[in-house]
Amino acid sequence: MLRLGRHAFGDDRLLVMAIVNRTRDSFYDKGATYAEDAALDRVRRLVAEGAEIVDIGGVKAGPGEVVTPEEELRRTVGFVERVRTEFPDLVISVDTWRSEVGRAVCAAGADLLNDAWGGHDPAMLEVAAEYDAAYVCTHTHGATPRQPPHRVSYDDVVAAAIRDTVTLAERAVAAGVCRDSVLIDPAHDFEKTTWHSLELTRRLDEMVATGWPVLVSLSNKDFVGETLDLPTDQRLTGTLAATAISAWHGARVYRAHEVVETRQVLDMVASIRGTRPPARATRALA
Amino acid sequence: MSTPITGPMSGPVTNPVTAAAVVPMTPLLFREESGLADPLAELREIAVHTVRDLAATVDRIVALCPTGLVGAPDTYHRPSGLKGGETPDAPLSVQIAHHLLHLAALPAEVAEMAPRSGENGPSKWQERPSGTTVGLLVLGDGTACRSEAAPGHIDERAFPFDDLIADALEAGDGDALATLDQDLAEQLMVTGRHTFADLGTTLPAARAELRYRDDPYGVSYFVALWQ
Repeated sequence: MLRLGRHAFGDDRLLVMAIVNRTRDSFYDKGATYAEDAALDRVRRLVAEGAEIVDIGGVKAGPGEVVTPEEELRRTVGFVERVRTEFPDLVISVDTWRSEVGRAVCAAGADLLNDAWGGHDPAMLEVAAEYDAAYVCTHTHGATPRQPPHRVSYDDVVAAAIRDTVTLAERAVAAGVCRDSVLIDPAHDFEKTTWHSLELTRRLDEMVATGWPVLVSLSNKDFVGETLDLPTDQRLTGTLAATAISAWHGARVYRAHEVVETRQVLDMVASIRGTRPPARATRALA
Repeated sequence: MSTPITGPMSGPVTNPVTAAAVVPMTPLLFREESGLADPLAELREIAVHTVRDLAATVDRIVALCPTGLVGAPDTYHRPSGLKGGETPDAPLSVQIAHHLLHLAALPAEVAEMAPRSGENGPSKWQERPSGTTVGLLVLGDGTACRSEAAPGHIDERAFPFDDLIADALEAGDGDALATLDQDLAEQLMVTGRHTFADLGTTLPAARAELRYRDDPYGVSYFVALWQ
């Protein structure tokens, strides 16, 4: 059982977390949903396409425009309220590292705090506990928020990701977050080279074996682009290949830009694994 | 050319350093780390030639190797999983120095490594038997703040700072390197900030040649030969 705020999902469900950026400068959509109405239109489309979760972000992950806490609050809190009102059955996640933002969006109806900078603000755990929100433990190797990696080195990147995320998960539970509401995320590209992200994908079963539900955020990232030597707008196929491998290894939640394609891959892999019957199988059965 | 300097021993000693080469310390100098492509092939070739040219004029090479800085990790495991040579866990700069010497087909015995950690000076490479000449292999990069995707993002102060380093390397102006603004260099993530200063202190003036300067990933790389 995975409990995300107001919502619960069985252990065999693979969930799509669709990205909604209320930013001007995110690497993929480049401000397309910065305006609140454009963002709400995107949420409507994502829900129609089958996303179980939307992940709302007010600050670009990489370096860029400085976004103060006040501005981040302005971009996220009212928007969360509007989405909550229109879609009571949708899981609302907010991508933030600031506990004051986490507190305000939980009060506004968020179910999940996607703490993408790995517990940078220790008070975030208390906020998740206080609001009975779910919490994502991200492996960032102690990186400073929005700082790109530079000549990072690991003895064993998978062991490091497991150690840090599981430690954070236990801290979250100790702080009062429900054990069924804690996810771990190896955080592809965050403080990692392409080699590291490929190895994390190859060995994702080791993270799954910890027993904590695993979230992966693969969508159109640099490790896909560098592997195939493709710009951001041509990385969908590579993203879906990594998605399929992650699903085969047992990841549970997929943070993605493209919902329809991601859902098809997850359904296909689930059927190959034998956890989902085919949608319509009449071939040679008539 | 020998220059009297004040060394760690009492009284003036003879400076054994008669030449120096400056090279970057990017992991991309390992051919395999970039995958199928080899974006820094030209830089690697120039760096290797320059190391070879340095070795041709001196008895010994001492590599000044930055460690313990952002961009100059103390231990470095190559992300590709490949291990080169006998120092797979050594500081990145030491591994790069070994690699360049290897590519230059120089015997390992010709060189010694002098890790340069933070404010601590390098080991006592100045103490030599009389008549021995030493070439410094100076590792380090310029600023890492020259583009959107650079490790330190864009910092406009990086451009004049790298110009200053490049001008000094091209002119053989050791005094300019010796007096680099260390605080600003730290903010701009200059891995060569201590080793460039060491070079400047050791060779206040030299006949110089700047053989490479570029910033393909927002980090400044220099190759220079001083004699």
